[in-house]
Amino acid sequence: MNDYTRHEHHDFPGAVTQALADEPLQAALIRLTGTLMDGNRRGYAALADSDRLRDHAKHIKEHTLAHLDRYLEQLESSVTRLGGKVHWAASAEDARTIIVDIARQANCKRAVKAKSMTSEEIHLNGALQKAGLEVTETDFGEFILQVAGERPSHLVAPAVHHTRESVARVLSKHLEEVLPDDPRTLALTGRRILRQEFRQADLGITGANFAVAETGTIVLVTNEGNGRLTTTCPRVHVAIMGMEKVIPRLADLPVFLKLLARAATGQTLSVYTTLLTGPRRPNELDGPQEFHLVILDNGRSRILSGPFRESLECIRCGACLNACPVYRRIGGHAYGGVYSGPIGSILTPLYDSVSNNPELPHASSLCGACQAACPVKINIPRMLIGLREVQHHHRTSTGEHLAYKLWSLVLRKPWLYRLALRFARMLLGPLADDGWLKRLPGPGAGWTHARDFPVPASRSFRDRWKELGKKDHG
Amino acid sequence: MKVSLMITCLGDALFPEVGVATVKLLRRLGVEVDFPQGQTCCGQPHFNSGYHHEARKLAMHTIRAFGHDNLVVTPSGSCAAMVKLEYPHLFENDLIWHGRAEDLARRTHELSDFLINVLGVEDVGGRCPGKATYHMACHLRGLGLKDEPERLLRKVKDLEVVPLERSDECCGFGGSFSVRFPGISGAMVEDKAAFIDQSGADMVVATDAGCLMNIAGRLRRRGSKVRPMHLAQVLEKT
Amino acid sequence: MVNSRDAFLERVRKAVAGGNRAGIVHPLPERNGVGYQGAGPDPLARFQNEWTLAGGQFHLLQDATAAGAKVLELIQAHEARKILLGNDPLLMTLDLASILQRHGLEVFQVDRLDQATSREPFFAADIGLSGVDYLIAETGTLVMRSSPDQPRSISLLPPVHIALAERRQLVADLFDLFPQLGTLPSCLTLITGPSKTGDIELRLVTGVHGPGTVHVLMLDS
Repeated sequence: MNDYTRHEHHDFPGAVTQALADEPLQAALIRLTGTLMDGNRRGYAALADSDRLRDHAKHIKEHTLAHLDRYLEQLESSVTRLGGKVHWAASAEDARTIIVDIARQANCKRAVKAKSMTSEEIHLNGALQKAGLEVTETDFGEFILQVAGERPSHLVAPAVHHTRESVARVLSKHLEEVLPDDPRTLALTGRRILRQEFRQADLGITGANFAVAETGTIVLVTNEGNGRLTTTCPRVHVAIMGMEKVIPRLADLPVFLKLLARAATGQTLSVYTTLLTGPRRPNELDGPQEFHLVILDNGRSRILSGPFRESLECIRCGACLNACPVYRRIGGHAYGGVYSGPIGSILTPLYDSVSNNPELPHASSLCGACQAACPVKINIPRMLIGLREVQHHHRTSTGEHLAYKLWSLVLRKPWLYRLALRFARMLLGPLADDGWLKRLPGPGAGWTHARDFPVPASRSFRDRWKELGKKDHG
Repeated sequence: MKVSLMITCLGDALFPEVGVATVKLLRRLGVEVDFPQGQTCCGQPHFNSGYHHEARKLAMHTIRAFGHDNLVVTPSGSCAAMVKLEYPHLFENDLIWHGRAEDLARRTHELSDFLINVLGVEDVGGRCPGKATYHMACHLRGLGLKDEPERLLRKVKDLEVVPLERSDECCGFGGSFSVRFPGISGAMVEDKAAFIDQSGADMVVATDAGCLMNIAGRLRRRGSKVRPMHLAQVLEKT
Repeated sequence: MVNSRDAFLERVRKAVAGGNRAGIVHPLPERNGVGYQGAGPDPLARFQNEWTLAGGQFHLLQDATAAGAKVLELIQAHEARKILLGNDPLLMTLDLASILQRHGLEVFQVDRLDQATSREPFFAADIGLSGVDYLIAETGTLVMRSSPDQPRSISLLPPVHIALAERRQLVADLFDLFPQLGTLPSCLTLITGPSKTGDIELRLVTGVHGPGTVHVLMLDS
């Protein structure tokens, strides 16, 4: 049972239409994805053998997933040895219960959170608030969204759909004072507000980009420093991680660090890469007194056992979003789930359900730009096609299935194929203007909505082969 | 040297002139070409739409049609990718057909890949006065091809090659994607066509009939005067 | 009753076995030098280049006296009054505590603080003054280990961070760092420039939430 519930049934086609008509969103997306993709290309180019390093990273992930139980046990042992506690959450609900219990037992009242998609996935904030805690998002973009009551729409820049004016509006309303729409002033206002939160919080919640089994270290990759503050000021630190985040050895970590920032933004490293190994040591003046690692399944073991295991190699860099010509035009919210873009088109059907998300695997031209940008070369197009196949088992669109079967039959009998071609020519020829059609009927109308369609040539290639002479094999 | 031509269903039905140009070009370079009559379609539309059972049947049909030893040349990056990347994958659990699929995969080459990496020629003796801009078909990425088509174009006499903005961005075809998501596909091909018009070229060149069909259809709708040309057609001209 | 841990791991074990394909092995690969960039013939120059590209400030100083003078100069330039001073060997040899106090600055030395008394200075300090443990030339990065003498807050809470470093602390490549670390501290931080956010229209703003200005004072001796 999984708990990847959406708040309402998601109308993907409707969301797409809305996004395509939203000009400010279009401009923001082009600017963001263009900048980050330039960074991605520059980042890989600056790394002498980025191609081989990406293969190496992929092999580490493949190995880890093939022995995941062993590495999770090793991680638990390493964390426990240092005085941390490991909790096992089979489902989102389990994770929420565990974290609320930790907060209660430690008598926590105010929580600060660093950006964590995993915590979004399990709908943590609501559960903590219901248990009487105050919860504040501290990544500046996420903070804006929390105040606005919205979800993130991009992994690296979650508030990309906002303009400076809309941010000023949101924060002004929250503070009940009028703020100018200058980005620097707004950001410094955020700093001022959140510093108070850091000071007063007794619980810090983060995700984990990586967890090193050998040493029991969790790794946070950020640019703002809120991840550091979240794990420095409060007395309790809870890290929630998907179980696929574990990597075997400390020596494997720099492989991913070198790739993650470059893939995401083109930086050599993010501003802060923080390796946390257990709670504070004796006589240290800051850092948490208690460290808890919550390891989450929530559908991952099912994915691990099946043909989509490769999707678990994802290190959440966002490069595929930036590379995708579809994401670039519809933005993150249109996808309707916690994860968006190409990887989201795979994860949402897998974490939620394939039947609830019939459109997502088809909302791709399979161009492969995602795979080319991915630091671990995940073959996203192949998995999208795999999901399209899975759909046919869940849902028999008999009309379409029959049409494809018939088409396949025709294509396997050359004489029938030639006949069909002649027939199509006869039918469409008279409707054409200079060899092109302005309107196609039925499903074809989608094509002619934007462009003309060519009629079959009066003589096919195989007709013309005869006069091209030379022998052929019949 | 002798090769077998894989014309592709789009090439056969909609753009036979591309096949004719391919044959003439290859013969000019001293390559004998034959045309296995049994071929129809590599099965990519079925594969992409998740009808893998049917796709396998079409793959077997194609493997049989190209059963002899020749290298296979195709003026289509997407069909080459289907054969080279997906055929072995389609038959990965099939003891007999996996080997046959791998064999055909090894022997099959997209046209620019064949010219540069097999024949080893960059100057094919072409002459095509005009200004061309080049659109990179997505499947070339998966095939590991980078600049082979551009290198061939730059050696064509009297042809000026001008840059295309976001040349490696998908044109929005993607087979069934173009009819299922006409809004997104339309936005993608409109951007592509606009960049083409802005490039100042009088022709746009690509290696795939699917891309050309899509781009040409949009250019026409816009009233653009830019001529869509397949790489083979440009290289064949003298 | 099966406990949640064992049930969890059993489910993973089954999934691993179910998804592993017969005859296909995935060994843990050895890197064999793949991805190693190094820092070229002049690692210091490389560090300076990468660090300043990331928005950091860099100052090269010939000796201890020059370093002390530069620290004062920067403190004055930032109009700072409250200095949080780490207990780093390099800082001690420069005798910075006395120099700063002589100039009328309020100095909080971490070895004079305890759990109860540290909170206020940590949040109130204008400048955090520390050493570093390593620098990475390839990426333009400072590396700091947490300890009682070097709390995390020193390079995090004050809006300005001044870090004193020596040439010998430089390693060429990120891959060179990890074999040198030994036992990991509770917090190891890699810092590459000042804190940044681009959350509003991708406009870069520094200083939210970590230090907006970071100075590296490199002793060339």
